[in-house]
Amino acid sequence: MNDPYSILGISPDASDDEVKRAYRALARKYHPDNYQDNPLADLAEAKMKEINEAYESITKMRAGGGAYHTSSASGSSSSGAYRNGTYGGGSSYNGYQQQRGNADPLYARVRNAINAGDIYQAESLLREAPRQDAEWFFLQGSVSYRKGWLDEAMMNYQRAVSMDPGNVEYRQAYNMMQQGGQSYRTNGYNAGADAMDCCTTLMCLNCLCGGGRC
Amino acid sequence: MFGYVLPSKEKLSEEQWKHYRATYCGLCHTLKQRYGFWAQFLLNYDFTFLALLLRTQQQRPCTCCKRCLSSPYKGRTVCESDPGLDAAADISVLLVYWKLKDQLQDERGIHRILPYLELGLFHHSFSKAKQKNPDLNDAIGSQITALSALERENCPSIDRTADCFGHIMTSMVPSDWDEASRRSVEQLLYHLGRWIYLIDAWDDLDEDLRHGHYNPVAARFQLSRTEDPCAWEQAKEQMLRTVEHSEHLAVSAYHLGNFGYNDPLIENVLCAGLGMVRTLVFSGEWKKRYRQKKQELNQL
Repeated sequence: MNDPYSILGISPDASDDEVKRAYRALARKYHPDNYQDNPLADLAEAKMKEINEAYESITKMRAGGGAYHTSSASGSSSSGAYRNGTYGGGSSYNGYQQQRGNADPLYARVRNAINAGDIYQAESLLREAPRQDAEWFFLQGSVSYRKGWLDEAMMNYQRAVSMDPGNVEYRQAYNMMQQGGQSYRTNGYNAGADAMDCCTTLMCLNCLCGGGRC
Repeated sequence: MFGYVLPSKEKLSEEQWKHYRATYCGLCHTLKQRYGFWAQFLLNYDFTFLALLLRTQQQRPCTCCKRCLSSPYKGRTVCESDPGLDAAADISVLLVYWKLKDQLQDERGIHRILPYLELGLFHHSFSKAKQKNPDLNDAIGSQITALSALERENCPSIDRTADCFGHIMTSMVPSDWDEASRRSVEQLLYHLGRWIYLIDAWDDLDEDLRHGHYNPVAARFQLSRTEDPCAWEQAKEQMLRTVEHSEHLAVSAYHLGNFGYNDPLIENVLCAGLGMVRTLVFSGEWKKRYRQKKQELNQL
């Protein structure tokens, strides 16, 4: 592993507070919610893992007053509060694995193809579908979104919502488009959430996403 | 290209601004060096950003002092040629070539004269650039052909047309980069290309409607010159949203890249520059202020 301090972009003599602040800022930046449905989600996840490990190794090192370890960073540890709590390594978003009693096997295959990043496969499966119902439009929207076809994604999600207004998944996707893809983000020039506690941030995020999940 | 990709000067440090200027001048000198005197006139802010993105070294680039046409007495700080500047120069020449070829095909009568003359003027530069980058030339050529076919059939989807432009941009990423950098810069460039295409479409909307030319926004929202203001407002709102969304996706891709010394400049362009230009274009101020802005940037 690289130097955990350089991963967090701080110097080894940074105070505990500075370490925490740097970690939080990075964790917010690479949070899985910022990369929902994004073709780069896997890269963001790897980055998040690296940041978590660096933070964990620093806190462990400082708690024990020990020297710089390199190998034990990824093990389960007492400093893993963040890992399993707020910004945990896992995403709050679980891909397209909507569980339904009467799930259409074709749509399940489309969801798998989207999760695997195989957009061409997903598109051709959707073309084979015998009818175009709300879920079809939702999945078509997801395919468009992955390709960067944002206007068509928006129209398809809108169609899905109007055909099945009660569906939380469709509404969340549509709301995300309505906000121009901005969940909560600090991109340098409009930061301001730094002082916010992680939990507050997550609560805000939840509201922004329609508050349907969790 | 169009010159919409600019930094926001107020939010840059003095050092970073000088670095931007040096890269801009560096691209001008690289164009001249690689493609001869006339090629300097293909210089463009969009390509300067491309040079910053495609520069692979992490440290501050080497600079030197050079005189030029616009500053013949007092020399300017200029970045020395590097792979980023070379690639940006090659791409500038290739894109102009395909744009002119496309114009020549679309225009009729007297309007064919100008692209014809320009193609003649840059003939040697074009053949040199094609020889150096055969794959890139093919990629740009096929996307431009697809784009003009869509334009001819009055394509009502802004995504399909913008997709061609996005793919032109992604084809500029060198294939020998490691997978993570390649994917993140490709995604960044795709959304930047989409952004440029849509911003340009909105900027040209009035003019295209007046001349009866194809405009993707007009086709998507079925706008005509006599349309009621309500439909225009609605179209504007949706266009703004989708353009902003591309900005966000470009920024999230940027966060995953590693741009070394250029990082703050790239962040400035993506997080402040694009928003600044978008606001100006959608308020109609861009066309008015364009010249003024250009003068401002040329000072120093």
